[in-house]
Amino acid sequence: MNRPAPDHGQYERHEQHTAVGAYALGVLDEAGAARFEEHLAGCPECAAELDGLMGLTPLLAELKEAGPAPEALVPRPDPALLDRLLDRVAAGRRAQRIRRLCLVAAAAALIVAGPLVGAAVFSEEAPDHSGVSAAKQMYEDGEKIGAVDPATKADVTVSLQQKPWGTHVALRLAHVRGPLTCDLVAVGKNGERQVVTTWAVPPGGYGLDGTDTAGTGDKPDRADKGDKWSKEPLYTHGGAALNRNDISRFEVRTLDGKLLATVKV
Amino acid sequence: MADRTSPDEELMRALYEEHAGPLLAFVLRLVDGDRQRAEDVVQETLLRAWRNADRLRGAPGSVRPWLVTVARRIVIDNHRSRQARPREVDPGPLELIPAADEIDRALRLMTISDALGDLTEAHREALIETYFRGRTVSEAAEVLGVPAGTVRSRVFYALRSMKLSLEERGVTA
Repeated sequence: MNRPAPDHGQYERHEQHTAVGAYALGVLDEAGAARFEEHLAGCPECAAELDGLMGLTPLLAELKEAGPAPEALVPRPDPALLDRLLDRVAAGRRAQRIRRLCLVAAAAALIVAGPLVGAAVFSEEAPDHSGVSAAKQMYEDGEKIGAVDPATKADVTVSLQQKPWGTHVALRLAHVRGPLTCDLVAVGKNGERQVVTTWAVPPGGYGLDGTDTAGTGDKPDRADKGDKWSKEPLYTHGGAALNRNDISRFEVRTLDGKLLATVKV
Repeated sequence: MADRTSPDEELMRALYEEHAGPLLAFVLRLVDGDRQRAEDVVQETLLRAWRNADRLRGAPGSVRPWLVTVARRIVIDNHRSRQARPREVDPGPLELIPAADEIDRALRLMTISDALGDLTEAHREALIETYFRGRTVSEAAEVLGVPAGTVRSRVFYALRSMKLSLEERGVTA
């Protein structure tokens, strides 16, 4: 038997070292496998390598058996799929933004609907804008009881909803001229008084048509100067830690104590 | 055209890059290789993942199991609505497979797929054309038009890389 030349032997040896992978997978033909086994008998490095690679074969076998087809083992999704996804994300993001805004509004409503806590929040937001439509909605939803004060002509309606924590009170206020700072007070049958909310009436007032003389503000000479009276009533809301049935009346007062209107409930 | 650089789009891109391929391989197995159906399922699954991204981000390593579970759910639901038959009468074949085992196996297969995907094109091709297509090195060499020694050494280096890559992914080979 001819011994191979030294350099050929080195090449052959390298070839056999790298055959260990194919051998581990069983993809050498018979002659190749026999050659490698012969090499392996005298090569501790390949024995160690083979030992390490044999752990892979059950994993690869599992993948081979499970499929999918060989060309789909590492499937590249259609690039159009990413486009479709990004389109849906853009659409979803728009929807989500709207949803988030609704959540913010709902959260704000929860805060201001809490007993007493809401008062300060809402007085800062008066006279109108963002919170008012929510207040108006709450007003629409409740049990409405109104009165026009014979002296001040202030037109006050409260809208009540019983809650686990007490009574939610939405307020509609018209025929009031500013500037004023007011509060709405719930008076219990036992005489207990609780402030429901406070707010400021701007100079233009609320719910005025320009001929009114209601309120305790300046003389109505503003109208003559062309200043606009606000025709829109005020809607605001708050809460009292009293059950609906324990409340005898609501009072709208200026913070310096003047009574603008009383609503008996 | 929609803005494609917002954080939401970036998140979706990242989900797609990381999971779309392996998830597609998984779903293809569930739908008998129906590519169109599989892509629809992947699309729906990734959208749901995107919608739940805040929660998924909070639990590292939970994305794949979640994806697999949801994708499987979608396949079963589609299957059911296509059949339009009461499931008591004819449960889909998928429902006969215990879900937990199925998902463990799916995750393992996806990891192996990942490792395969990490290989260079030449190395992956050598593995696929030999082992996965059931050819010897010599047969594959003929198909590929390269010397048998080249295929042999590519298979070797492919296995070495996969071994490392699987170890990095926590799968002991």
